[in-house]
Amino acid sequence: MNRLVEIFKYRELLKNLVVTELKLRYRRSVLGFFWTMLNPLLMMTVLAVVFSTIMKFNIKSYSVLLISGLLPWIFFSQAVSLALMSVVSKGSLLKKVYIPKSLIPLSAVLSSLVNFLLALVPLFLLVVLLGKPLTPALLFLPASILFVALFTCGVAFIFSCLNVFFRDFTHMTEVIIQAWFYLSPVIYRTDMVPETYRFAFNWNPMAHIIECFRIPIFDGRLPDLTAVVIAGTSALAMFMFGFSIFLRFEGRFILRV
Amino acid sequence: MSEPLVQLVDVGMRFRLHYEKAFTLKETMINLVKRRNNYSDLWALRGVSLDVREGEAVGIVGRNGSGKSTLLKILARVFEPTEGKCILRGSVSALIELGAGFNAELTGRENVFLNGAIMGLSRAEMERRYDQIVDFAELHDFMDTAVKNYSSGMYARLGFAIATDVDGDILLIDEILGVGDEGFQKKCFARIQQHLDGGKTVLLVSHDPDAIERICHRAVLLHNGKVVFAGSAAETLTRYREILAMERSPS
Repeated sequence: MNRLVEIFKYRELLKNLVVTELKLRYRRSVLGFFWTMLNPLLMMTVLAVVFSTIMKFNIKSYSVLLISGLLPWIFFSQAVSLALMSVVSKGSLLKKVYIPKSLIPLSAVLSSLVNFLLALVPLFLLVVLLGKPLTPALLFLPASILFVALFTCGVAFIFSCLNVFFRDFTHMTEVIIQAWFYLSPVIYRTDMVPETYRFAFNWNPMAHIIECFRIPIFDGRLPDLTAVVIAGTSALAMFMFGFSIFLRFEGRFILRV
Repeated sequence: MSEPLVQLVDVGMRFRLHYEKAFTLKETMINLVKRRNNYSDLWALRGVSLDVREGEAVGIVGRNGSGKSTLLKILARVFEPTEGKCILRGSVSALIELGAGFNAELTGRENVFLNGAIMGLSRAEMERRYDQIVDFAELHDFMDTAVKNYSSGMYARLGFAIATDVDGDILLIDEILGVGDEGFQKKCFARIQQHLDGGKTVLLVSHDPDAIERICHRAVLLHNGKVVFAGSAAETLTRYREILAMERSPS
């Protein structure tokens, strides 16, 4: 708890790290922040065209299904891979001045979160354009975003910590994230999966979290209570677990980065 | 009497010297299986106790490798001591390496605010100090240039200006008074003196006996990670010279 208070005290630095991260990413790029909005749209277009041609999905509704799953996933995977290298690459800073080390993976997650929030703009444009109704259920989205953000923080803490001690974890992460992508209902929905396998999704917190984000947009209703409870608890649990792992080992970082 | 501002109690810092550090999972596994202990322990500091009261200026002298910088890094909270306690009753601004918190890609201006944030100051507070910092660093024309294009002198000047403007209760300085030309060095000394006059506390690591004598009331001598002498600045420097002479003359 003390550590959370300390992070709050350093909020000015956290803000600064996030702004720096974003600034440097888009410095000298003509379109700047538009890339954050353009990227998921382009990715969605490619996938939507491919799947509607090969699998004969209805391209209109599939596009919305796709992008409402892709956005939280892109946020998650981008944040985790950014956080993964963050502690090691900020090593020279950590060796010279004292800052709470947890700020570093946290700033990686928050800068990806800013991108995620910006990408909501093209998402809603698309939803309106494709004729999906805007319903009051959309007001649930802030909670869904909180879930995915907390869960991502937890994973980011653990992965960035592991990478300090084992550099080959970087390569493993790629595989883990890739596998997790296909095992989560990002480019499909759980009801497209044969019934016998469906139980497996119950054990994947990302499945519930993504559904909490998708249902208000795609189905225009509130997600089921069980899904909300599972998503919320697993997100909070992952955050606390990741944070405590990070705190447990951060004292040894300095000699390892 | 009030409690000391800085209190080191029996502080020890151990480093593991790995002959070949296992940085990957594979290597760690192999080492675990073979039960290979490929490291030796080095105590950079052991049993160091030191009290510094408010308003004092204390010098730390010693040969290369005697543990001076390690001590300062413990005070700056960069290292956590392996044993013993380090109690700080005040805010610390550390000049361990000038421009330590700089991000090379950012401009001078952006780095001023970044460094302020690292030291826990708000943006408004830094805006108030900004002109003062630029004046001191004499970098008016370069604040919108990325610091990666700075010369090492400019880099150091900006670092010094920020760290000493952001006045913590305790100022830690590690061997950095060789910054800039003579005029700038004079300004640096004046700045440190100003801190002391304002009742701040200074800890200074230096190889330069003049700097220690000018600034410090007292000093400690470190040798092989232990405090071997503590006393007035002049006395400690005499002992330091003795040690240096002893090392040089073949026994």
